[in-house]
This record gives sequence, structure tokens and C-alpha cells, in this order.
Amino acid sequence: MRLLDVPLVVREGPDGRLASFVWRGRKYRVAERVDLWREVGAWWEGEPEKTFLVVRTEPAGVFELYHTGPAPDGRPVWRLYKVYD
Amino acid sequence: MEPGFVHLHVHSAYSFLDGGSTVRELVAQAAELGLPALAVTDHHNVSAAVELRRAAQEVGLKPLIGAEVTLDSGAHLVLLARTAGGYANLCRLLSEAWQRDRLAPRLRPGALDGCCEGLVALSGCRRGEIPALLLQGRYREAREAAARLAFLFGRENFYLELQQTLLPRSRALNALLAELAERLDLGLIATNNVHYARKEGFPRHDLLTCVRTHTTLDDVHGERPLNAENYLKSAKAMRSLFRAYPEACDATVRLAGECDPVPAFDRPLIPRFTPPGGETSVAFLRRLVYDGARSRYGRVAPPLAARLDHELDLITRLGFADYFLVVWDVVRFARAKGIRLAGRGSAADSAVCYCLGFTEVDSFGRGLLFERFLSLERAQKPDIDVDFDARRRDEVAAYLYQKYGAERVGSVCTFQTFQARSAIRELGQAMGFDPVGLDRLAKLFPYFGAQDLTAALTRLPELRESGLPMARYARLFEFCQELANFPRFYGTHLGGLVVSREPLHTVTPLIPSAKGPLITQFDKDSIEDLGLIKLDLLSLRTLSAVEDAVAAIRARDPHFDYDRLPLADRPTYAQLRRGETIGLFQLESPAQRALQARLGATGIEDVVASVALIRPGPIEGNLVEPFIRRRLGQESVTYLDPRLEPILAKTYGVVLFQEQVIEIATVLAGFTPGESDRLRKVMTHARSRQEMAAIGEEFVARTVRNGVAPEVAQEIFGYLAGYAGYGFCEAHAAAFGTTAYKTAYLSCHYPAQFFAALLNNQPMGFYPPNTLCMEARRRGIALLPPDVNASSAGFTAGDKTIRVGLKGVKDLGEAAVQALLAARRERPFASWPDFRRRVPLNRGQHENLIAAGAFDSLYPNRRQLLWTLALGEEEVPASLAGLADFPPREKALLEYSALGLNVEDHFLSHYRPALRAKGILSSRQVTRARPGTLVTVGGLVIRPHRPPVRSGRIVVFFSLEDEFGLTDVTVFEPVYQRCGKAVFTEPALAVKGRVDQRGNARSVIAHEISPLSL
Repeated sequence: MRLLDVPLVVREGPDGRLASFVWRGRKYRVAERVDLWREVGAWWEGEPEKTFLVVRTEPAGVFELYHTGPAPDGRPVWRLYKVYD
Repeated sequence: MEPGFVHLHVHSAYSFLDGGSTVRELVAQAAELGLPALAVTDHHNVSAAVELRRAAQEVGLKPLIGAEVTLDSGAHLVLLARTAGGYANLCRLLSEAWQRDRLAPRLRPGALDGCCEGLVALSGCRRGEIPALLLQGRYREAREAAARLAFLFGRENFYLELQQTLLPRSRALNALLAELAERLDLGLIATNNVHYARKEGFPRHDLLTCVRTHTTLDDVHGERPLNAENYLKSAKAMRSLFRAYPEACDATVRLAGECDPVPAFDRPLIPRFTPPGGETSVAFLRRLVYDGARSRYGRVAPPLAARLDHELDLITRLGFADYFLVVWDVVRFARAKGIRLAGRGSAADSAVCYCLGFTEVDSFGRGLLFERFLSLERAQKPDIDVDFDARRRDEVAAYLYQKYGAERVGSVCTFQTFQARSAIRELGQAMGFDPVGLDRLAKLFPYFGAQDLTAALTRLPELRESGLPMARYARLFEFCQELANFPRFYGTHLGGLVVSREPLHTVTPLIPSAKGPLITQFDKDSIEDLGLIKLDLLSLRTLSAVEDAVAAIRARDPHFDYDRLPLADRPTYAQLRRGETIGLFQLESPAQRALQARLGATGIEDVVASVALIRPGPIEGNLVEPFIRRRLGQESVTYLDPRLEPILAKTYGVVLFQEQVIEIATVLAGFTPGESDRLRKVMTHARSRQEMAAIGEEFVARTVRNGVAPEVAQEIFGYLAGYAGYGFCEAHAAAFGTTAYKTAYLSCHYPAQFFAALLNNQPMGFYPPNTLCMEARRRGIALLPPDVNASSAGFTAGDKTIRVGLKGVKDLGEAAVQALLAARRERPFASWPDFRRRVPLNRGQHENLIAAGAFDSLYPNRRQLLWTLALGEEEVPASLAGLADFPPREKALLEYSALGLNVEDHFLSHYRPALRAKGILSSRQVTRARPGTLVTVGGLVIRPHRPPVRSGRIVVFFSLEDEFGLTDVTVFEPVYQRCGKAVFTEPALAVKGRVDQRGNARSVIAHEISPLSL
């Protein structure tokens, strides 16, 4: 498992859910949402709430991503947090 | 119509540091979301039940009650009361859990056997046995546990609880629970494990969790919530989260429909009293009352009989005869045991209570209204409060336990809440602030509830100018305000007991108090909603002091009878008129001293009125000045209607007492007494203009029908509306006034015995012991130092002397005092070395005895004794022979540190020449100065306080104490804001101001305030 915490470009499906993302120039399609949870973080320091998602992808991989509140364009800000080997 | 949802696993603030919202906040939010019902399931208690029922009724919500219990294994389980029987079983289970461990209640294995009837169980949060096993991959054990609980509660009364609070692995856990449900044919139910009403409530809950787990926000702890999802979500949101399990949401609505609401407890649980000889309780009560009446009045004349019959009829119709007999029995027990007592409160409005010996107020003779105490219309439970000698109150309570059985008697609980100081310390530590800074900050807030904190920061100079970085604490202050009055844990009400016809654990869980006796889970505001009647057996130290004083007086004068003191004693009233009331019950505050010096009291009615006048209400309502002017004949007494004269004559036309409001409404508007009392209550508590206007219309209309002109009727109502909220119960004032007068009598004729008794019963009253000693000296009583050969354990009175007792010596303790007295009983101590050989004390105790002067009669040089002790010598060595004793000023300081008071001289007397040189006057000089003179006076600061005043501005009152007495000081807001910082922070002050004289009352109106440098 590798801890990355890097920005990520994602594409959402028509239902608003994460459909795919691009990492290191390669596109990964979400095959299964394995888990989903939310964390408040250090709210007393103004840290925003994060929603975490563990997904299984095609091509094969398991990734942990999270997003915080919306960016100026109104979309959530996504980051890739961990990659499971 | 959208399918609904009901939250069935909800924690309120009664989950003590695990609930971020009050019951009212939860109910309001549930109502806003349009939910049909709401359950509250706090940890191991049902304390929310009554509040929940009341709040839910207001918004048309169905209230359900349950609790989340912890099993012996540490696993959680949610229990909901389906029926009244289920509620009783829940109370029984909770009682047992608390009685196993009052700090960490747990259900013993097997406790649920035979106690599940009427209960529904939900498998709980992740700390529930089944979810925890599933998360650990122990599916088989989880299945066994589920099967066991389903067998115990019955399949239809046990649900596997699904939660989707967006925690890691929630989806997987719910899938496993659903599979288990299918396999065992069990129901699923969705909950949100609610801990706060709205999402914004999360930070408070997290912070409270830190307080509970003794961690800070920066720490990681398993009980800290990971996210802010445990709030009351809408039905739509819950259905969306559980779209894979719609049946789990349907089950919430179905189960809420099946469960009975929180029991109404509408059957009275008044204990049965069994009269002797098979008589009925009603007949027995009547006989006792008439016997008492003959004893009190000699003969029962027809008007008295009519009054007694009227009261007895009402008591009987309301079903309270047994209750009166229970109280009679308690009072009889106390009297038989020689325990001093005095009734107080509205019970003194009752002639029956007087005849039964509960009170000493002749309500019939005074014309007091029984309906202020009890009325058919109000149908309120009687509230009989009796004060007992504080040292013996527990004997009386023990009698109740012994007579009715421990399972039928309980103390009423209180809820300990966050006060400003505790909130700053506890919440501040959880937020990670430095404890030293927090301690300094907390000490600046001695007088406030946490809710007043932010306002105090801007208004009070001692806070503004404290030099502490208040901006850094801004968020802390916000939390303190938010969590003000949040319950922290249970406490014990000082006097409230309930006695029940049925075992108490069927209506309330009973939990052990810190001192041992069982307490209810409902406080005084809720307990009567359970059908129980509270009996207030209060501890009053004044009665202890009276008892001691009477015993000392009787030792000299065996014929002294406290119960038959003359109520028209001239020297006593003369003392009151001089404002010499320090130490007197209810009459000793600076405001009371000033009132007494102006009022010109000549009779007991003046004392009764005094008790009622110096209260926040009459002061805010500006009643005091008109009353005094009329009492002194400086203002004419007029009545808007001649029918008002007989009602208001005793208070010079001022509506001072609540009973007067009732009588006016009865006589002028033709209300029944009960209706009038209801009117008084509404007027007292009316919050809205509309409510008051509606009452006004009714009053005016009915008064006009009785022949009063509309404009006069309107004006009378204006008086009532203005005064009703401030009025005081006359019966209570009369009860307290009688005791107040009697303490005045004791103080006037037996000052040594009276002040010695006060000093022996500290803490009590308004002033610290040093002030009482000052007053005793001023009254010509010589205070004598403690003496190992002469002192008793406590203060002892001589003819014109008070000898300081050994118990007053710091750190000496009861055991050492008793050892000393036992050694002395063998023979007096011949010398200091003889004392040391015979009484084993540690060095600190010995030093304090020397510093207090307890060896002066054996060896008067305190410094030599202290040195001898330090050198470890048995006797004073010859090398110390030339060592002079401490100078008087140092002696006084040492004495104060060892005793907390100065014995022979006031501390300031040693500084008088220096103060004189600075032009600082003594209190005696101030009493001789001409009114209006600009003076500077200095002294020790006594009891600074900021009572509410009508203008809403801050006025500070305090006294400056010196060797001659007290100087009362008034500080108005501009001066306080400019230089008042020192008032609440410095021990001694110099105050420059003008002498003010009102009647015999003298004070200084402050212009400048500064610390007094000595």
C-alpha cells in the first residue's frame, strides 16, 4: 500500500457518482465501490470534512480516494489518497 | 405521501457527556422534520422521559422512551419500552445495573431473564455484541448471540439494528446483519445512533467526548466520533441511506406505532397511612386537626371550624389525606426525638398544617388564603417543606426509610451542570489550553453560570482588564455558553424525598448517591409527573444554631422557653431599628441592614414584610421605597376601591404578597379563590403580551360586572400586572419572619450564646466567621483565644465571653481534638512539655496550636515555642530565653492563618496609625461624619455582589470591615466601569466617596476605588 495524497482528475457518471479517474496518464474505470465513509478531520482547525471512497477498478487495482467540499466550479475536489498493491 | 421514518436510537444530553443536544432541541428538530414520533434512549437512564413527554405533547409528536444499556461483557444493547410494564421492567433493570456500580453501571449476566416483558431490544451500535462480533469476522458467535437475544425477548421484540453513519465498513456490516436476519428470520431496523439534533451539533458532542475520555481535541481516542453523521436526519435522507433495506425503515414506523408513548403516570402513588384502631385516614386526620386546633386556640369557634372543615374537605376530595398523615407522622417523630423543626413555604397558608404542627404560622389568625397552598381548580400536589436542625435531618429521613421500606422511599436527584468555572476548566482542557492559564481565567468567574460568560466579559471590568488573552478563548467561551446547564451527572437534592405507595423502581430507576442513599433519576421539576409527591425535609443550619444557643442559655436559665418568646420585645425591635442584624436569619445582608435601619420596625409584621421586601422581585419592581415611605407616614396610603383596604392595609396599600393578588381577584372580580390563584400563576409566569392582555380583559370584564368603573378596573389590573411577578408568599414570609425575629431576640438578650452558636455552625449565613467575631466584639463580647486547658471542641459562651474552640484550629481534626480532651479529662496540662508528652500531634498541628495562642496560658512566648519545635527540643532551651515574642501585627497574621479569624483584635487595628496618617477613616468615623461629606474609608472587602436592579444597570454592593464594624459601600456603574476592577480581586480596599444617610442607614457612595496597601 502506498500513501500518495495527490490531486486527481475524475469523471462522474450521470448519477453524479465517481465513474473513472486518470492516474499517471492511465484511465481507471470504477468497477465496484468497496467502501465509503466520511471523516471530519481537525474541525477545530478549520479542516474540511472528507468523504473517502475505496474502489476496485479496471484495469485491476484498489484505490482509496477522497473528496472535500466543492471547488469554485461547484464540483468536489478529489485526491488520490492510497493505492493498494 | 412519502414513507416515513422514526428515530429509535437517540441520545440526549442525559447521556452525560455523550449527548450534544437537549431533549427540547431534539424534539424541536424532529418536529421540524415532520417525524411522527421520537424515542430517547440514553445511556442507562430514562431521565429524559418527563421532559420528552411534555415537549413532544407541545408539538404533537409521539414520545417513546428506552435506554442503551451496557451488558457485563461491555456490549451495548438498546431497550425500548413497548408498554407501561416494559417501562417498569426497564426501571428495574437500570436500578440493578446502577446499584452494582454507580460510576459504571452494567447489567449482570442473567439480569434480563424474566425482565423482558414489554421491552423491545435493538442490537445496538458497533459496540453491540452482534455487530462487534461480525466486524471481527466471528459470524458463528454473532449468530448464536442473535439467536439467544431473540429467544430472550421473543422474535417479534428483537431487531438487528442497521446503521449507516458513513463509517468504514458500514456497508459490509449491514450486509452481514441483513444476512443474519434472513437466516434467523429476524426483523431489521434502521437507526442513526443520534447524538445531536443537527449536524452543527457535532463539535459540542466531540468536545464532550474529549471531556468524558480525558483527552484533548488533538488526541486520538477510540470513542471520538469519526464524522458528523449522528444527527436527526430526515425520513427522506434515512430512506436514501437505506435504499437497499426499505423494510428496515418501514420497521421504525411500525414499531413506533406499536409502542405505547412514555407512560402518563396518572395514578397517584401517595403512600397509604394506616391509622391506629381501624379508623379511616380521613377520620383520623380530622380528629388530629381538631385536637391540634384545641391545643393551639383553646376552643374551636365556628369561624375556625368552618375554615378547618373547608381545608379538610379539599384535602379529602383531592385524595391527600394519607399524605398529610405521612407528614404528621414525620413531624411527630422529630418532635418526640427533640429535633428542632420549622415549616416553611405555602404550607403555612394552611390552618390544618398549623394545627398539625407543621408550621408556626397562625394562618387563620392572619387571614391567609388556603388556596395559595391547595386548590381544587389547580389540583396541584401539596408542597410541604419542613426545615430541620441540619445535624439531625438525616435521622428524620431514616425514619421514613424504616417506616415505609427502602424500596418505597428515595431522595430526589439533581443534575450537576456546567458552571462558568467548571466549563472553562473542563472544556478548556479538552481544547488543549494551558491548565495554568485556564485556572487563572476560571478564578475570574466565581459568580456566573456558564450562560452568562460572554456578556460578563464585556460588562465586567475585572474581566476586561485581567490581562488574559480573551480573544484566544473566544471559541471556548462559545462552547461554555452552548453547554451551560447541560447535565454532567446526578447529584442529591438537599431535602427532597419521595415516598411511594408502590415500589419506586416501577416508576423510576433508583441509583446510589455518592453518600449511599438511593436517588431517583428525575429531579424536582419532573418527579411529580410520575404521580409521586415530594416531601421536602430540609437541613437548616439556623435551627442548629438556635438549638445550640438555647442549650447554652438553658444551662444558665432552665426556664428559658424559645417556643414562647415574647413577639413584642422592645429592646429587640430597638436593635433592629439600629440596623444591628449581623448573624440574624434572613435579616443580615447589607440591604436588610439598611432596610431595618430605615423601616422603624415595632412589631412582628414589620419583620414579616422585611423578609418579603428584600428579594430580587420587589427590588426590581421598585416596591421597597413606596413601602418604606408609607410605613413611615411620608406618603399617604390611598385605595382605588374601598374593598381593597382590608386586603392591602397591612402592607400600606402596596401589593406585596401573592395572597393579596388572589384576594383582590376574588373580592373585586368574583373569581373563586382557586381561579384567582391560577390567575396569579399565569400573571407571574406570563411571557407574552397577548397572554397578559387576555387575562387583563377577563379580569376587567368581571370586575366591571361587580360594580367597578372600567377605568378603575383597568388601573387595578395594571397594579396587579406590575406587582404579581414580584409578589412573595405571605405564609412563607411569616414562617421565616418568625424565625428571623426569634434570632433577633436571642442576639439581643443572649449575644454570647447566640454568636458562639453561629460560629459553631459555620458555614452559614452571609458573613465569614471573622466578621461575626468582629460583631461580637463590637457588642461587648470578649473573644478569648483557644486554650488547651480551657477550650472545648467548639466555641463556648461565658457570661460576656466567647472562648474559641479547638476544632477551629487549622488541620487539628476531630481525632486530635478528642485525644486532647481525653488527656485533659485525666488532669489539666501542667506545662507545654507535659502537653507534648501526653497528646501525640504532628508538627503542623502543633505549630497551628502555638500560632493560635492555645498555649498562651502555659507559656506566652509563641515565637520561642515555634523555635523549640523547629529545633526538635522537648523544652524551651535556655539559648532562646532572650528571644522576644512576635510583635502584635505578626501575631495577628499567624493567628489568622491558624484560625481563619482574629481573636482579640481585628487585623486592621494594627494598621490604624498608618491608615490615619494616610487620611483613611474607620467605619466608626464614617458613622459620625455628616451626610454628604466626602470621605475615604478602608477595610477588608466583605461579600461584594451585583444583585439585579430595575434599571438593568450594574450596581455593586459590598462592605468594608475594620475593627469597629462595617461600612456599606454602593458603587454605581460608571464608577464600577472606571475603577471597579479591584472590588472582586483585592482583599482590602480604600474607597473615596460621599456619605449617604437614609433613616438610620448609612453608606458610602463610591467615587474612587483602589487597593488598600497595608
